[in-house]
Amino acid sequence: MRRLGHSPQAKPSAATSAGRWGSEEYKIGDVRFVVDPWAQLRSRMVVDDAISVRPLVQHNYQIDVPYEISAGTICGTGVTIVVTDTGQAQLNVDKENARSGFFINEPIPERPTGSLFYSWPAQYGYYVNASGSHSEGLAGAMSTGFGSGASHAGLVERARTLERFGDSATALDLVYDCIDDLLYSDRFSLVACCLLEVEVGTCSVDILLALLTSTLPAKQRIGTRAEFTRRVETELLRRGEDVVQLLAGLK
Amino acid sequence: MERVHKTADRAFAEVRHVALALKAIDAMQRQQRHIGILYETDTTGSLLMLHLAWHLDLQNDQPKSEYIWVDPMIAPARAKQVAAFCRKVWRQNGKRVPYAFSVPNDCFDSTTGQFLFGPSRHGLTCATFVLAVFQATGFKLIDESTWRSRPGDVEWQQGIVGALRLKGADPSHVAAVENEVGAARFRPEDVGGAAAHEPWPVSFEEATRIGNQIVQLLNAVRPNGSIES
Repeated sequence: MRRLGHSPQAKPSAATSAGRWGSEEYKIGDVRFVVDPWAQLRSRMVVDDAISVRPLVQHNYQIDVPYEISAGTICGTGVTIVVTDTGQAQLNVDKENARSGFFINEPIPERPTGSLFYSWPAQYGYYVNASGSHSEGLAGAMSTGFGSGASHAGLVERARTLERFGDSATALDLVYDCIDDLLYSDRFSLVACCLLEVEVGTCSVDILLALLTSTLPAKQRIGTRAEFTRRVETELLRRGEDVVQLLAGLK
Repeated sequence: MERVHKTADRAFAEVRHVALALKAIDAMQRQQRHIGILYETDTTGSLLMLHLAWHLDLQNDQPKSEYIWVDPMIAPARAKQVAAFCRKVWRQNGKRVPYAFSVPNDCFDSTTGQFLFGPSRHGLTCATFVLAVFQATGFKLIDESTWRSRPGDVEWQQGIVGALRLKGADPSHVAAVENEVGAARFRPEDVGGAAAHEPWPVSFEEATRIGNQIVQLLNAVRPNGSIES
């Protein structure tokens, strides 16, 4: 974990636009960030109190995290940056989760200007969560690594955020890839934890089905999957969905 | 056949997340059919067709109007998952899915979506590729236990072995495929017929009955998707 620095609280700013990757600005909670696909490296690193994110090469984004950002959490696969409400930024890279090839710059260099940068495949997206409680939760988990379930919470949260941006296809791709990453490294127990911790009532049908489908071939090795399936079934029934159609072949 | 459509009647734009696409082709001096999966690439609804064209030649391209398409009876939320799995298979494999006659069970790694080699798995045909994708996402389209050999199956498989050899495929792969000659052959039209039917899994009799109707339709389809009168 590295501490990036300390800065005064950022002032809230209004959202100007939202959309898919090419959009100009996003705002979630009190945090605004800017997607700037054409900016030269570091030429637009700090926009007011925002985080600048830009495509670096094909399928990859680079994110610069300046000192001057407000509270929030940024997640990539195997990477979490937590910015506390005191303005401190903490960064963690879980190298087991972050499979080789995810990062162009590894190890993560420390910039003399106080910025760190790293990249991950653009399809995974990113999010900024201004919720202090969520940040604290992740920060606590980070001290013991990702094995405590932080990445799982991040997975579902990131998928939900992508859905909120209207990018449900990428949200599903994220779920499939992240679950695969865990299973690929024989971390079945982590997937089991993930399913255990999913709050089914907050997830879309698409995400719930993605979790069930992506874990289907490994269902014998994921101890909590049957229970998760039951919870999903109960939730879908509560929503008035056609459970027989939706869960056919997935149990 | 109400789930089978010509593009002249119903454009690909009407595909809801996922569908099967079939066309007639001339290959190895005989008429046969080819099949692939139409799937949504993103939330804009744009479609691509993922299909195993040949040995180590999985293709992911724009569907042409000469294809007819089958709208499988899948809830939209589940169809999205099949589309997501197609994207996953393409990301993981690129073109490198081998061609052989292995049964389409558990062909993709449970974790990576990558084609899984094994003692009983050497590759897929265009038809078994489709079956494998659907099976991996929870849909068993056909009842393999009902499958029977038909005249021409072995000859077709032997022709494939010869073509693989001619194309310079790895000799060990050719030998493995040769050992699979005589395996059940699931024809593209069978798979299309099964997808058009319900409930799944579909028996040999039902799949081939609808498959024969699909062949008749395909033989009449012009390149622009209309029907010869």
